[in-house]
Amino acid sequence: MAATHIQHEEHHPSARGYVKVATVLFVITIFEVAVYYIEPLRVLDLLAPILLVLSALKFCGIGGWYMHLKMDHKLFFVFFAAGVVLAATLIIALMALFGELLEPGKPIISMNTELQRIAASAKPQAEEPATPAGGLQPYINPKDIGNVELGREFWIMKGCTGCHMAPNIPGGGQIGPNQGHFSQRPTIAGGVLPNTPEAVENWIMDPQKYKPGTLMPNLSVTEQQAKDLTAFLYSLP
Amino acid sequence: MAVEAAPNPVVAAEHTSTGLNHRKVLMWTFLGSECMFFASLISNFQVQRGRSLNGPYPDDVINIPFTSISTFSLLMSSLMMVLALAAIQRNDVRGLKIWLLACAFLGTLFLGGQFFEFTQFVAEKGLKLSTNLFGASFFVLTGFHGTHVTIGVIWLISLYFAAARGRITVKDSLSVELAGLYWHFVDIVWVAIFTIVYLLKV
Amino acid sequence: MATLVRPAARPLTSLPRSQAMTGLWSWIITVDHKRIAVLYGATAFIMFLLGGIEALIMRLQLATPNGQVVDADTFNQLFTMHGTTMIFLVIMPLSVAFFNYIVPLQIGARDVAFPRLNALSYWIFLAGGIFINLGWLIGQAPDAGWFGYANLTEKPYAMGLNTDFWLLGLQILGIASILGSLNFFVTIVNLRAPGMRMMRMPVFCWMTMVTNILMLLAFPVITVALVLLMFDRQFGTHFYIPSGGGDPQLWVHLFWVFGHPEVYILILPAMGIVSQVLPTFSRKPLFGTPFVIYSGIAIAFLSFGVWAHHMFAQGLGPTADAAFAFSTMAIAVPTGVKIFNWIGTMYRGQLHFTTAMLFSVGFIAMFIIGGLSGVMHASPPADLQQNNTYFIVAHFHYVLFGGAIMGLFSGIYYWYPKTIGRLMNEKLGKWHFWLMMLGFNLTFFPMHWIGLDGMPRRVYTYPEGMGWDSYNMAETIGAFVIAVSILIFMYNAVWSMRHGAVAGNDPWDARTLEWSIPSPPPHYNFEEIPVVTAMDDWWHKKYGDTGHEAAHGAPAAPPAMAGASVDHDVHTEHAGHGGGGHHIHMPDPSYFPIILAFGMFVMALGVITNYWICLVGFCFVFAAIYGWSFEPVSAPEPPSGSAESHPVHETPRTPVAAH
Repeated sequence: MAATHIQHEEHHPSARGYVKVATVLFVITIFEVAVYYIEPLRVLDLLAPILLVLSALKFCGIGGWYMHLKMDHKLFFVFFAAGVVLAATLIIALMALFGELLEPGKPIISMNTELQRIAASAKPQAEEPATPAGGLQPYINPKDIGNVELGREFWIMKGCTGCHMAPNIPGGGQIGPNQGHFSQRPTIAGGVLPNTPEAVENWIMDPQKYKPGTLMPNLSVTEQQAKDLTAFLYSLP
Repeated sequence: MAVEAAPNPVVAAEHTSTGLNHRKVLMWTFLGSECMFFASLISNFQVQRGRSLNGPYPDDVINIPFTSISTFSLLMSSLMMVLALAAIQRNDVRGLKIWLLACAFLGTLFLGGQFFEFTQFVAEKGLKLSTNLFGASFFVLTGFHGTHVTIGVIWLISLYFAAARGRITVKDSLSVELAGLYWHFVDIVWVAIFTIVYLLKV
Repeated sequence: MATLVRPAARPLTSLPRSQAMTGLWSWIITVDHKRIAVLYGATAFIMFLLGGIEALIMRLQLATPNGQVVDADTFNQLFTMHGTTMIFLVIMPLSVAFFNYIVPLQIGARDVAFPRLNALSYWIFLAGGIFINLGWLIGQAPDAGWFGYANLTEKPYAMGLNTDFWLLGLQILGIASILGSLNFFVTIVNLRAPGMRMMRMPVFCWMTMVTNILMLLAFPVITVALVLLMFDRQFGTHFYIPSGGGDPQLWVHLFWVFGHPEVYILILPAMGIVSQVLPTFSRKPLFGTPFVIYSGIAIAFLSFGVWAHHMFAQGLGPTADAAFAFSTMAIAVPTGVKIFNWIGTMYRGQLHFTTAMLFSVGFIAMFIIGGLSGVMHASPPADLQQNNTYFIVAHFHYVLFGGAIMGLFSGIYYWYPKTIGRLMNEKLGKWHFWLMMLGFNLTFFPMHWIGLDGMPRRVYTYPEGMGWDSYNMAETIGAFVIAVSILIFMYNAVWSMRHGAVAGNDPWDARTLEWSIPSPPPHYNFEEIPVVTAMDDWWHKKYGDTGHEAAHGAPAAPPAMAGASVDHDVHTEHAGHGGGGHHIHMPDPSYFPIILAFGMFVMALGVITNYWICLVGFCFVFAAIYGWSFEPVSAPEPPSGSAESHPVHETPRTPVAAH
């Protein structure tokens, strides 16, 4: 019985049958590539659904005929289908959670995009009386350095509170110094740089350059962002 | 009842609870698990879409005509594989050898295409693993797929040599079938990758 | 009758194949599921002691405010390794030890489907366990938490080798788990005794199967997550690094897509054990067995849909939060069903409070507490207060220690007689249980309060005047009480090996097939594979089909069965050729598994030292795979005229129609 087990297993397609399946798969692939070049489909957002359907057909062709799922015991289909279904669910779920499902290629959670959005929608600063410094350092009006409100936003978005506390900002870590009275400090970066707006901007943009091995990481800050952050720091009481 | 003497105990092992061979159940279960492996890699690719901070971007490097040829290669290799299995199930060892070799050849052709494509990306287009997110995600996904294909090719060539030494007969067709299942799976994954990475590149 | 003709060709590997059955070498090349189970169990227990010491040091540090026992760096390594060890090197392998030993016995099989693969899983596990602990030797043990959040694990924040040991070790362990799961899955699907339909299979085997399916589907995800991290660290990619456009959130998602099924992987085996122990010592069948089984399946299914409840404080947004809150509350339902069914099992049963039973009942009580705090986390607003505090620490220790570990101890006391042949000392057992309960609750219950009061997790010290001092001191005392209870257990385990009461086949008058064979079982397990006619088949074979008389104790009639060896009372000290088993040929040992595992270990070392070493390791792996694929399941024997051979898969029984 065991020796005949192979033969009686199921109705194998013949070699001709396999070639037929291969031809169908071949043709579907040609369709896929052709569809790729049809501009109107892309514009109408139909490219993705069509290609996914065609791929699914190829998937079924290979799985059903080449891998014999169609003719074999249905348990194999169950084992494989479980993996495929969960796989597809995972891909879709992660795409949805990262905002890729509805608008592919346009990330909505990317921090850089958020920062750009904030900068683009920045309102002009309200005119407030400048706070006199009353200390060792000469007074510099923060608004002359950059946009204080934007700087405050960047301070939070960039995660500076992870290491620093600052007045009127909730929370804050204790790894770096508390930024209260920032404008009154004679030096910054642990005494390495003088406390001038320019030095502060340079330091924010590339801490490692001025103090190699410092714990302050490079946060990919643009020059304008650095200016705004400096303005914010100088505005702190 | 008399069970025919079998040099390969696998044939007689259909005395199982389901009537299905252990190794075949193992292979299908393994493939189900591998679906999750590639799903995670594809999820990563999908999530990183459009987030590269600098080029080269997919539009700059993807060459559909070239990759289509690799795709056809791999697709046709699956046909060779299934013909190889059909051959050994008729006890046609010569046919098995021919089709196995053809399958391995087309698989190697695919790998060659991948290798050429990768070197082109790195050397001419300046797209490396560390260049940007597209490079990273692309190379990791297609690289792991290529590794799977390479393992498959080695498997097929090993089967060829075993057949050449007369060690594979109709009673051992399960060994060929298992290699086939793996090979077709790798082809299926490429169907997904070709669509998602190449055809849907934007 | 079947005869087996050996292949005519000479095997490719001309190295001699050892047939050793005793001695150290026999343990290294064994493919016997019972021995592999012992290897897993012993290794896991050593890791339990290691993880426990890590915990004790942490508790010493936290006993007083501004503690000076260890510095912050060391503390980070301690809590990271404590978590990683307990999860991956203790609870999982202890569960696997039970899968290995008990599942083949409960389904009436002689071994698992792929014995060499089984051995390979163990050796790879050992390689991973050693590798992940190598960091201690150079003071750079993993230190970024057991969940390794990016981008704390990226350079430049994690410049040392700590995270590399962690991610490479976990990848190795992941491979071991996947290989093991494949094996157990095929075993349960394909090697059940004739008549054992799926719904007649013991609940422990069901939970095993569900757990292994979870492992097969969840571990590939963490493998990819770790691979991406490895590429970030080694090859300069930016998958999780914002300055390169990547997103640390991706790590968090991928990790928890694995991580949540993982916690069900940790608890389901213990639930399966409890589902066997309670009926035995209540002398009643498990209440609502199909519901317990379906609940286990439902839990597994839902477990893939709740992962983001670990991320309520990550800012996912209200839609995602609500969806996952809903699914998390839903998953509490099948869990509750199981708890009621366990209680229902005990209700009106003839209860015998052996140590195994005590631990199972303790499991239920502690798991309820842990489950309740878990449901409290399921509400995102509530979780925002609880997250990252000791409240969470309390929750998971109640479910993992009070739950999984206690369930596993229940299994140890229950099945120790089967594996060793002697009963553990009950008096010492009860001391163990009660001290452990006392110590455990003293350690972890106050954490609910200080957690809600704001004490954060993963802090190496805390200031005075927070109101936490006395609680922390109590918790530290509790931890040492736990330690004492474990010492008692260890003494008991060793003492009982020589001085415990002889167990016989069925000391508990239990319900499942493993109790129908001698203790310890012979090498081949069953002399004749039993034919199964019901759930709790052994009970039915003993007492017949009349329903409730089992509750009243004495067997109605002498057991009449095919294949059970209760009457023989064979006390075999050595596995193998006692009784009538000499015609049963089991698969022969192999040394390829340990060579392969060694190769993987070397490859991992190569990644952190020199890639040429990777290549060397790969050569070992490749050679082992090649040798293995040409090695027959059993070494060639001279064909004998009269003796018949029954390879493990060719058992003389009628094939079973698919269920």
